[in-house]
Amino acid sequence: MDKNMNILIVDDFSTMRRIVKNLLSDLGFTRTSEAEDGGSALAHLRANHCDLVVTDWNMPGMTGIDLLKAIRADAKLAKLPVLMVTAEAKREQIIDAAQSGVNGYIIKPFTAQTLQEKLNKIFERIAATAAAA
Amino acid sequence: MNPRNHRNEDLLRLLDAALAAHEHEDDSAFQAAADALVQWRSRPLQKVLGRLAQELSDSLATVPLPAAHDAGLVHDLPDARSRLDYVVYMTEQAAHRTLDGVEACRRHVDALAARPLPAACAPLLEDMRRELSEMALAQEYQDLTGQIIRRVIGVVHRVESALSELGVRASADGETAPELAGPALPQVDTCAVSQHDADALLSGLGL
Repeated sequence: MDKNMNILIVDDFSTMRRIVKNLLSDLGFTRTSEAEDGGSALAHLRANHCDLVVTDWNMPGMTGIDLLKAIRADAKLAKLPVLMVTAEAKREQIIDAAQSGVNGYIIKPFTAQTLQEKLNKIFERIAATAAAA
Repeated sequence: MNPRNHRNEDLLRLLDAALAAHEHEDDSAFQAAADALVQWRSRPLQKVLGRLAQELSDSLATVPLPAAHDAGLVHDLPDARSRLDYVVYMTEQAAHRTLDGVEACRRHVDALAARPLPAACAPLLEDMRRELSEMALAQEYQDLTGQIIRRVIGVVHRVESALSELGVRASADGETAPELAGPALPQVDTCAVSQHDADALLSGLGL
């Protein structure tokens, strides 16, 4: 996994953005940016190179699921990996996220270990897909 | 002629018109007659609905809604929302203060690790890093409780709107001063004083 990758953290709670940023930095990922809702995240993604999005679901304005759908619908961003970190834990919601093309789903509260596992899994799968192609 | 016969005459006239239009294959006249029949049929219904609406409105005017006034409920709702907002704000500040401390400690640990230290120190520094991560992660309570509180704020807001649609509004004299308000909120508890004010007050009282 490239530790120099650019990661966008999207959450309306500044504390959670900071916690995720801290955890990522513990794992060696220090190039992070932040956005506080789906709308500003999308604007950031269209203007800057990004390798991974870590987003909350429940946010005022554009929600995380709508952000995910917008990313998948945008030809330039469609392949961008998206990891959802959210308190939304209903079965239908997880299915919705999966069907919308989410790459990983973490339910809050979560641990540093869970974050590491999901990140590993996302990039292992991407590498496997690339090798198969 | 009594009203009932009068109504029947009306109906017969409308039916005749419809039949005549049908016989002459006059579509637009038939449509007009059919519309008139529907109107004839729905007029009593409209009257009944109108009367019900009037009665409901009259009853609402006499319902003892002041239960809400007496308790200062309508005034308390926006107040409750402000307090809940403030809880979210306070926990956010507290979580950031903790994260500030965690980040400062982590920098110290990194600085220590960069120095020539006895080998036995390395696992201790590792432990400290792990504990600091745990402390940072524990702050996610702020996000989780914050989301729950925001939901409750939404509920309070909807109750408030529903009451206001019923015509219950905060009266100017509805101000209530609970005996123990708890922590003072800026903007909400305008009568609250700072430590400085309190000190000045106390010294004015000879303390």
